[in-house]
Amino acid sequence: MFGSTGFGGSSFMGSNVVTAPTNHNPMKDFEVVSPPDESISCLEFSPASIPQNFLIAGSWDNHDGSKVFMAGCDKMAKCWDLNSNQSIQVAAHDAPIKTCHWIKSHNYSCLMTGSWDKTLKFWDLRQQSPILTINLPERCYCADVEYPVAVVSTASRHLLVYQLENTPSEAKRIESPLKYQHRCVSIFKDKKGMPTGFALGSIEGRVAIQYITPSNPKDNFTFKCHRSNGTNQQYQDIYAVNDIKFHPVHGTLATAGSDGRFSFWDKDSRTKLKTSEQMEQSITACCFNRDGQIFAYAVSYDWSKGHEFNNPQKKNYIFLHSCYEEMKPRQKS
Amino acid sequence: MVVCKFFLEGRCRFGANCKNEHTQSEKFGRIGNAYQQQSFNQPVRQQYFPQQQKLKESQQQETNLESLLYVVKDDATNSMQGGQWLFSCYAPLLRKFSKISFNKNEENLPSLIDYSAEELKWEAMQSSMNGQFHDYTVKLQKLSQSYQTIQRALQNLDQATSNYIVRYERGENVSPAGTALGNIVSSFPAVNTISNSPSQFSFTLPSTQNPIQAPIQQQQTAVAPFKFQLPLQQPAGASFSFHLTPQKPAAASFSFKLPSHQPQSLINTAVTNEHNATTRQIPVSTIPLITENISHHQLSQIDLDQFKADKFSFGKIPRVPPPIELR
Repeated sequence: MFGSTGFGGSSFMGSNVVTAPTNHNPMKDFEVVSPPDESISCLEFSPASIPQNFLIAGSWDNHDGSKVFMAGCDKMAKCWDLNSNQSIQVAAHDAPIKTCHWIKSHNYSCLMTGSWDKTLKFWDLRQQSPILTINLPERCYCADVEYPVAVVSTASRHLLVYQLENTPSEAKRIESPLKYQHRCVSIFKDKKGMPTGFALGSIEGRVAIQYITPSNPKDNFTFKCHRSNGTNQQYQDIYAVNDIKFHPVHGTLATAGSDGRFSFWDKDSRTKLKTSEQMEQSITACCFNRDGQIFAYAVSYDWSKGHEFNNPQKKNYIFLHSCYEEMKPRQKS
Repeated sequence: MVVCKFFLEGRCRFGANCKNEHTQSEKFGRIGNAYQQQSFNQPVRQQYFPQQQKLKESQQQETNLESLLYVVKDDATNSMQGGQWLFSCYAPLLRKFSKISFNKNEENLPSLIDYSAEELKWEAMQSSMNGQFHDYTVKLQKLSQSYQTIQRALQNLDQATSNYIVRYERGENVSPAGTALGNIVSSFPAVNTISNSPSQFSFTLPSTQNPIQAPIQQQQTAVAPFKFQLPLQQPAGASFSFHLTPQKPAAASFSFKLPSHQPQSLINTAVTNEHNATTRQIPVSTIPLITENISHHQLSQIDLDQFKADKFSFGKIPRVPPPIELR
């Protein structure tokens, strides 16, 4: 965990050889100093209430940006108070916690944690026990919250939608539009700013755009991404989609792949806006800052090829990419 | 328009009513509508009669299920060839898109259990911390082989597996025993079974049932972050590769270039060294190569004369490098 306002790091200019990406920063983006030694599992920018851009690997307390929540394999979630620089345990599960999100409602605020112990728990920080426990059909793999909606996806391709008003409750279960393991999910909003659907990524290099209540079933669709042409031309290499995030202003989306690339997409015109160069390792997490000027992405090993390809000597990076213009939606012709 | 696979094989049940394209085969020239239902090796099928309308839906189901097997084969082939993450569940048919009536069987095929990359990484880290890393690699190897066996079975689709899948998707209560899907994949950690008996867990349960004390202000202890270090000697035998075996890198064709399909950025030194060992051996001269500096005092007169001459005489070329003074 760290916070940094520094934009530093020299840009290493690799040669123009086409083979291996010797250049660790092919996009010539700003490089964050002192990135974590371990793989980066998630990134979040600070809320708008803080004038400077602080970046952490965890989750912010959206309210005033004074607290950061971190959850992990020690089966605990902790709240780190940035002012006092102290952290306390606020949540516990029987197995590693995969997701944590802060929920701010009219009448309550709480932390939502999803775990491999097949439960979703809601925590009022002042109490020891969760204020609500919801059983999941399987281990929690990914989740997203955009009040008043939460979407949770588990192992075995389950998709659950919760409404968060008054007290969180399950709103519906959606049949998965994808055939393989789900990996990441991100809610998008309609023109009025109400959450209306989500993007779901799988290990099969595919993303599904799904409306929670579609006016037309054809509104839902899937597209392939993070595929490349293998040397065997007949078959593409298939990479997992590690993270998906929506641009806070334009509503276009970014996907981060196990292939070490990120791509920008416009789901309304169903077009690809851009694909990046290939990084030295997979991109494990990404996010936008609050005004949509900066796209941050983390380059580290995602374990997609097992322990044999884990190289602790390899440095991890977090890059900041100026994205406002690139992510503008395409005009529908 | 999609070309009808069954028409090309001469066995489309719907004939002129088929929603897919029945393109004329060049081999048999132009044939009129009346013969569209006939193939070169099948008897002429009946015309589509109105009373068969009732059967239409069940026939459509049959056709959908037969084409399902093509899809299963395709999916398995693409995922194996593409190096896709192996430990994933698989739903051959998304029921929301099919016209097949209500089916109580799960969408996912049995035996293929989801394990995410993070779960495997966590298992690796824990095993390493417990000094049981080798056991972990052995278990992982077994798990990997189980999944690969199933994927190959889905690619090749023998009669038993095909029948099982078709009946499974029809909603029948059918057992996968006797097919590759019937082998119980040894569950890795007890991650997928939520049981409270500690013996089944590979990670330990919290020591107290109420681990949260009243929020006490705890000082953040400056503990060095845990850095996952693999044991230096990695067991050679326990490797898992998601690509189809045998996977021979291009080194077999004696080229100095690295094979372009290898994940350049992800190779660790062990893999690279292995590759270098198989590149072509340069024929080495049998004359021992002397590399130390020799002073001209040690040279024979013949060699000395040769070095001093304008050029070497054939047959008298020195076998040692010239002394520094004469360079």
